[in-house]
Amino acid sequence: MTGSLKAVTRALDVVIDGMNLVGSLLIGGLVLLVSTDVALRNIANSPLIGVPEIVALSIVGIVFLQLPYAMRENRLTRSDAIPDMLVRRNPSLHRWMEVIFNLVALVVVALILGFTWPLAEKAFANNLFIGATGTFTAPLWPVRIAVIVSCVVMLLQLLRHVSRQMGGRQ
Amino acid sequence: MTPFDIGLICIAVLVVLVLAGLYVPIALIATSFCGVWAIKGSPILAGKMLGLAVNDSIASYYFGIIPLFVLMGFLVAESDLGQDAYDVANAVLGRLTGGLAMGTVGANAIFAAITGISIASAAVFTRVAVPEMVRHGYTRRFAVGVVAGSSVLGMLIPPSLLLILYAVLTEQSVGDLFLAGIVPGLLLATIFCLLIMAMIILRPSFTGKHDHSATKKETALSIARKAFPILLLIVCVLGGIYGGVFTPVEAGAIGCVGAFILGLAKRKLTLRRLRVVLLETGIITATICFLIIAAQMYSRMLAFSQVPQEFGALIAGSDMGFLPVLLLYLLAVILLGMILDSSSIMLIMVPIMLPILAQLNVDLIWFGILTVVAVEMGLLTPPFGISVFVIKATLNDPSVGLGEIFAGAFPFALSMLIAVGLLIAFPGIATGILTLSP
Amino acid sequence: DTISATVVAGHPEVFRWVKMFPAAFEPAVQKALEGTGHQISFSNQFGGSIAGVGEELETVEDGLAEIGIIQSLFDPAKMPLQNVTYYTPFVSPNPRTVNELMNELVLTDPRLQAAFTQHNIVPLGGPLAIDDYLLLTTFPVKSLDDLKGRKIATAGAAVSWLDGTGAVGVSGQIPLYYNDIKTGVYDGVILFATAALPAKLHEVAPYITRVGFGAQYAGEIGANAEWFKSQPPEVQKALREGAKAAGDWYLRSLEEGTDAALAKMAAEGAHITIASEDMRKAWAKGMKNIAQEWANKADTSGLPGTEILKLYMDRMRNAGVKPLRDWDKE
Ligand code: NA
Ligand code: NA
Repeated sequence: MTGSLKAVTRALDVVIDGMNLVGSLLIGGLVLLVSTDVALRNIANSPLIGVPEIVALSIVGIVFLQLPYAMRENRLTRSDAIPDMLVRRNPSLHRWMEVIFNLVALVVVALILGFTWPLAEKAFANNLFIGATGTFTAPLWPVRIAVIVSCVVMLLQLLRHVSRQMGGRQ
Repeated sequence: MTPFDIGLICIAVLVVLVLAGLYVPIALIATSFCGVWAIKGSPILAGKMLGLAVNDSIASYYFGIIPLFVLMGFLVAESDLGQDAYDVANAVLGRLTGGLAMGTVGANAIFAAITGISIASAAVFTRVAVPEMVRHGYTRRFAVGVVAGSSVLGMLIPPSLLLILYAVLTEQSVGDLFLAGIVPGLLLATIFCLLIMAMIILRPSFTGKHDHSATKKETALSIARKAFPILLLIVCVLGGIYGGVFTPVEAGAIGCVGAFILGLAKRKLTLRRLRVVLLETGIITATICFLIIAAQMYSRMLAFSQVPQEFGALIAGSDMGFLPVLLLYLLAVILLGMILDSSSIMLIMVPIMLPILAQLNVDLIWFGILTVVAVEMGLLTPPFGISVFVIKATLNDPSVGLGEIFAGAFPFALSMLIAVGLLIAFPGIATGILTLSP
Repeated sequence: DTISATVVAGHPEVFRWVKMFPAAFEPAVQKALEGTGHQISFSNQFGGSIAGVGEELETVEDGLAEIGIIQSLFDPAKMPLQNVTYYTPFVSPNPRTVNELMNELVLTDPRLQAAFTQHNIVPLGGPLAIDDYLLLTTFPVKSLDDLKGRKIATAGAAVSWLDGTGAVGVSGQIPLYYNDIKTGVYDGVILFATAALPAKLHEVAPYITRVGFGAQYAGEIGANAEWFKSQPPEVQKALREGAKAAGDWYLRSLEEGTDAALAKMAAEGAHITIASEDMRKAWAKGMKNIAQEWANKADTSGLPGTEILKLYMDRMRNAGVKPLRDWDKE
């Protein structure tokens, strides 16, 4: 691998780890948010507003911030019986199947990216939010951007998977 | 080709792709994209559906609780609270045949009174129970099977998100459904315990044997010391829910705080461990929610293909009398359970059945409990079994394949049929409790 | 020829605003098409089978479904002006009055149509009316003082109706109300009779006070604009007639359903009282002017919020309604 390519993949790892950290912190934040709401409601009779809306939005953020990491660590759910058998009996067929599977994943992620983009544009242009005016509202665009960034990073990660498999490394 | 044909092809293709080893969520999204494209004749429409499904289908308060409950399970495990609980259980139940495995079922039944989703039960007990059962000599296949099987209790014993969904679909009272779920939940737990005992006696090679050398010597004092924190946590969470301090949905967060404090008090949790725990919670949340997104998209594609509707119409129009209709319905639910997630099956099948049920004067509360048990079998059946996926994700052990977990869960899925049969034969198991209460 | 049309609703058919499609809309459309040589084959996709609650607008906009129930209540960001009734409580408890006016405005006023047009949707009629919101509590309510410090759950804009009462507004989820009231997380809810009865909320919160928050407009039947415009005029006309029939059916069924729900809850032990005029006035006067706040917010984002508020209030007063508070005149 050339030096510049190495730098790119290192940068990719930093981004994936960073997104993962933000996603993890969001989970911690949810715990704090919900328990603060419970505490304030019971002790001070003044619950936080908008908790259901924030929880609903954060879950999408958490999922897409963590997905690239899960992908890099090969944690996406899959059945391993046939791949495990092939890796022993016919390693080259196994490698080609892995390449094809990752290319399929690449297309799917590209589709998600392509069809989330217009939704993000709309969220921006029309100031879309969830919640109700006058009580609590949260903008939609940050979540849409998280999905888009996640897709871009997943695409790069899948390319890396494919190139490694084509190069014969695991 | 009619949409119906396309739907059938999509089901076959999905099964092949998943077995071949394509990532399950990718297989679901790819087949549903192609399916909608073929049905509607437009890749743009298919893509728009994909965009909506990805961005909206999990953006709900109910899915928000997944990471909270998963995190709670991890914190319980990290603080050694789980191990302590098993040491206690072993000291008490260890001498019984399969005592520890039955203890897992019992613990799941208690945990089910806290959580409304089976995913949470599966994640928590994979971390807490599987290592302990293996440490005590059971095979891993049996241990994961017990955890997968008993995770279904989470949605039968109240609170239950699936029963809430059914209540919305049929305009039944959530309170009545919750009450009606208690006895069938306990019945199912009992069936699982009997199954465990039978398996250990009849198929020791499958289950492994309780190895008493792994049992620590316990005194009354050491048992009390180990039991106290975990009892404290259970009492706090259950007491908080049933004392009106917080909702079952909020209990996930409160449980996290409780387990965190206990972990600190026991000096087990460090900042570094906490980081690892949050990271694992994130990965599991991401993989499971991605599966749910993909499954919902697949279910929308199937709705467009009309496959479930035509199947339902076939049952509805068959004019066969109550029992055959009921059995066909249950068969359809169990078959759909192989490829769809629980809530999607409910959303598709229950509305199809409602008019027929009204004609036949069926008790909708009883029917709801029956439906939930049948739907929950799908959590354990391949190729799409979300409890099994959660266990796989939580174990993160490449030496334990999906197939092995499905195999371990299979006896439990089968034994759920007994519960279904008993519920049909004795509807009072579900509805009896309603006639008792004022 | 046979035109195929997918009809979408996030709620299941047990909800009246979904039931109106097979019960009234579709038969009326077919009837109107008789002799034209056209007929429509409807494919009903309800209960979240292709779109969840609040996703109907996007689904019709994108053309995944041709017709749907567009729930402005659940899309306040895309249909802000349509939510005017939720920001003007204490105007009229009569769903027919509120919805005939709102339906007329949505079908004729370009300012209210814009939100539909922008999203590639033609509003057809058949308003989604909600009956008068009630206060259901675990304790009797004789005056506003009884509410001090009590936790009352509602959803969306209705949370702001509790402003100034001393009660604590908690945002909750309707399916969870029963259990959460039973365990004591809340002391009551604000909800309408036709939803309270099936959820059996009167069992856990038997004190029902008719405060007169008012009936509400929550949405409208809409069709994908491209599809609608590509239909021959007689089909377009039939669809509009279908929506009108659905609206008539819906309002009649809602009125009967509301009376029946109140009667049934009373028969099952609920204590239903009508709030005293003093209490109602105190409640309405004690709130901040949420209508003005809402209108100003719309104005700043370039929408005619103040105009629509005034239009709605004027038209209600012209129709003989006596609002407890003239939200637009302060
Ligand atoms: Na439960
Ligand atoms: Na399954």
